[in-house]
Amino acid sequence: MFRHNKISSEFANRLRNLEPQQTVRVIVLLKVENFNPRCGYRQSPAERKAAIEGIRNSGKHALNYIRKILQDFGGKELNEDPGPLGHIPVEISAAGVNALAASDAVKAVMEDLPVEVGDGTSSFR
Amino acid sequence: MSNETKISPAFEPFLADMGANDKRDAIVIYEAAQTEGLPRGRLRQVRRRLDELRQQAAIQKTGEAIVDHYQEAWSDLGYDDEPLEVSTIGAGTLPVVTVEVTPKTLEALAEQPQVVAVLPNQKIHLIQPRKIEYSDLITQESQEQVTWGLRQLEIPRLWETTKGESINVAVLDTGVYAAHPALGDRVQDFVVIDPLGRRISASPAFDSGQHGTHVCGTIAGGKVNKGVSIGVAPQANLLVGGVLIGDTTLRTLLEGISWAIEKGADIINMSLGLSYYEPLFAEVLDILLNQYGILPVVAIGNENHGNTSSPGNAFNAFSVGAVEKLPPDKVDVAFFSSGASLVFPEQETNTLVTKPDVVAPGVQVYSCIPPTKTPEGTYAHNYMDGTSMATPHVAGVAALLMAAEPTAPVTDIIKVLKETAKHPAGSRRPDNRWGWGLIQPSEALKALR
Repeated sequence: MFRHNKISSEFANRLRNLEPQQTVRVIVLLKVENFNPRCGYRQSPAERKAAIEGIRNSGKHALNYIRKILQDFGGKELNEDPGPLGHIPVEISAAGVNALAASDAVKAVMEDLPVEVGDGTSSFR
Repeated sequence: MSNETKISPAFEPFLADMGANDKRDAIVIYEAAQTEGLPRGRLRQVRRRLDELRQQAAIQKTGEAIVDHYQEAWSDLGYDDEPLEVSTIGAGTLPVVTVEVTPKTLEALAEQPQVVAVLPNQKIHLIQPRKIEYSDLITQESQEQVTWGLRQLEIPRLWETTKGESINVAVLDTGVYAAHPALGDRVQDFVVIDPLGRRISASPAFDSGQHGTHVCGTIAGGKVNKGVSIGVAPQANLLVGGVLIGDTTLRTLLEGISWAIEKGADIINMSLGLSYYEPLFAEVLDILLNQYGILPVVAIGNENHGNTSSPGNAFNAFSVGAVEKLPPDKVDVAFFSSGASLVFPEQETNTLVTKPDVVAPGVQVYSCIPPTKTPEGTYAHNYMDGTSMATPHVAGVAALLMAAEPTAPVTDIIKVLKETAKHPAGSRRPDNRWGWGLIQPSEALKALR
């Protein structure tokens, strides 16, 4: 059973068609604290720096909670540390994705799906 | 089904222009009684034909009954002297009939229980490549010294207040040809994010296509040949992340966003789409808006009405559709511009998400490109169409508003852009074509103050 609130239904369907041991690459969004006391306001460079640092540290803390899951399901962290979005890309078995989603330290798990340019048509003049 | 839902909304524009007794052809789709299913066994083939004929007869009979009842209503409503025009479609295989309607009789037709839908009979046309005439547009833009998009949004009026100075707009795209004269020294930083998410410094900045340079030109470009201004916020700073180079995935994009956060972006322009619906991108947008006070502006896609593309269709995305210029001085939503309502009845919040949020000029948008050789010569500017081109108009306007009101929260900027937008249906908005409407930058600035 996939945690629909933390995994999109499309990704959940794709996972269902995989063998549990098959590996997928996902982005794990970790649960991080709010470091912007002025929510929604533009930040000074110092405030931005502090927010990045705070989220990264909070992400590292959350990452410690899911390391056991990564270990149990053959997971591999693809970045050294969580990024300023509190995210970390990982490779893990399909079964491990659900285990990640079940963790309180995880906000969402997204497939590392392709991104395309928003194509338009052009004419030279 | 109520009578209202049986009458196609496509009737609305016709009804608005029709007099009370004006007539128009309508297509009526009705429900015919089902005949019994096919028998099993040896008689199957023989009986199949008989069954088809029975079904056709049932369809015709129901159609005749509907027309008879409608004929009575037609007479009762005062058209006794005028014969009702009725015609069948095909040989009764489809439960469809064509009848004349007036605004007064339409309801009577829809009232019949067997009637499923009433649609206006419309002209259909072959979809074929359009010949686009640029000569008038070129003349007009040369005379006015601004692109039609900037003129439509009355951007020169805002330039009396600000040109976007000190605002950092990140563009996550195919890169940028920073040496283009129209971009001057606007490109403050450039990085390539490779498919493994690594940041690669590259100098000079380059564009793997034309898209990124075109988008950058619309946000912060200056004057091009013949003095035409192409950029909405010509003094804004551009931070360009080349994320759409090679096989790009979500990881690449998130690394690009991370780079933009670290470089001090105030606005992030994303004229791109994911390959399937990913509602959880809303979490990323939430962090940008609330944790960093960054305004992400996202294209809604070019997949026509009834579709949307991620991440623009996340409930909290500020997504942009495209309008085109029509003669004499009108605009309409471009046929390709995506828009849809996503319904999630099982959720506690955001059960209905209507996209796009706003629309902006996105057809025949003139901007800069890397010098490109063609058999006809080398070009450094071109016209492009797409919601990708509408998005940087909005990102540029957001930069002007931010520069004019530096302490305004980004949520307020989004709010005023939506609330002051102009929708042809007035206050009956948002819808999944125009969203809240065509942005009105000057009005938005007034509302922000």
